Amino acid sequence: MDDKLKKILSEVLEIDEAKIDKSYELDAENNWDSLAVLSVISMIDDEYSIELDGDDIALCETASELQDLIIANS
Amino acid sequence: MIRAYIKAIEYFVPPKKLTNKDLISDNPSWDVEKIYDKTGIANRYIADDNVTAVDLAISAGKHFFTKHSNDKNKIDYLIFCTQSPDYFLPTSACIIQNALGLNSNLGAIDVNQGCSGFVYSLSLAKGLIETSQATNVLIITSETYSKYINKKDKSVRTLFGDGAACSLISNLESRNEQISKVTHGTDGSGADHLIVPHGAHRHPLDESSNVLYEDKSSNLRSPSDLYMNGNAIYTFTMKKIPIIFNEILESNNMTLNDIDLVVFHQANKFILDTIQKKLQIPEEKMHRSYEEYGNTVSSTIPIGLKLEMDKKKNSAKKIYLILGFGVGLSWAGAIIKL
Repeated sequence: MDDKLKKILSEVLEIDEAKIDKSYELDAENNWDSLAVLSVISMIDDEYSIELDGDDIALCETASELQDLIIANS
Repeated sequence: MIRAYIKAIEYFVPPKKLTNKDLISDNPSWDVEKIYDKTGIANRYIADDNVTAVDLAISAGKHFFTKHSNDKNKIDYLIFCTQSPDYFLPTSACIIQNALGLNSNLGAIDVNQGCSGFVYSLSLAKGLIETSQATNVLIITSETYSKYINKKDKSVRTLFGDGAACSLISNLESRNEQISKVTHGTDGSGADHLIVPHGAHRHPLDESSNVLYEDKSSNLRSPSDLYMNGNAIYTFTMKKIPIIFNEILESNNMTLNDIDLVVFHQANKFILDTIQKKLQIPEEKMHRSYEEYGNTVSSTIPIGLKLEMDKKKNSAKKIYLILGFGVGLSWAGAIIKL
């Protein structure tokens, strides 16, 4: 998994980077809420210069789906 | 040539303050510190149940004329901007004309726009004045979104505050424009991203209108409450507003260097920070007043302009870029001298 994305998720979800892998679940238990989605849109724009749609990000259920979304829009 | 200009602005917010502490006491599970970090909003003012947007507008108007009493008899047009009217009909502006004791030989209309509403109203006022159809146009913006908001919905309750602003657009002879040509825009494909679904004629209130549902972020609302798709609104703002900002500058042959101050619609800190970063606007050129008032919809820009006018130490005019954007989706921006 991309280190930049790991860093983004660890910062937004307030969790140790080492714990984030492809199967990491993006759900309410892991602090994945509407504010987290907004922060991720903004940080992906900063890090990758990609403006993803918030609704697409909100549909991602795991870190790897988010990774795929970034690759598909790169 | 006859030019329209903003002569004076006053505003009024209801006395009841809703602080972040109050929000926690209503909803102990909300992480209000995190919400404050993102939104930058500490307080919002909320109208009592029996106080409407028209009442706030009348209070703002009365306050305006206590400070500018000589202008009252000169008003020959009233534009009232709200999305919270007292009735489907009559026009709220007619009720306000009577309540404020304004002349009866004036034009009075309602404008139904939200966050772009002040700038839309300003473009109408400019058109009326510069074509000599009116000389002194009163624009009153007023909202009580709190009445549409479910108390268990943090996606909107944390952001919106009630309030009204009263602005007098008057005329002067000058070679130079005081209010530039207004740039307008609309994308109705996003109409359902910020909406009160039930209550008017498309979905009249019925037994389903008050049925609560819970979203993924544990917010509760019913179809008669305000719904905001924050992701979609944020994405729209991030992609569209920097482009519009540059179009406004270009159409006036200006660059950011020519602008003394930028007064965006005060949606919240997160949105303003994003636009600021994309456009690399220096902090000293950014007006920010969401912390005290929250997002008062169509009144954020006139309140912002009033606060900036009060800060000025001399009478020299400054150049402001104003830009409103949101519900509709709708946007409008201009450059003004004030």
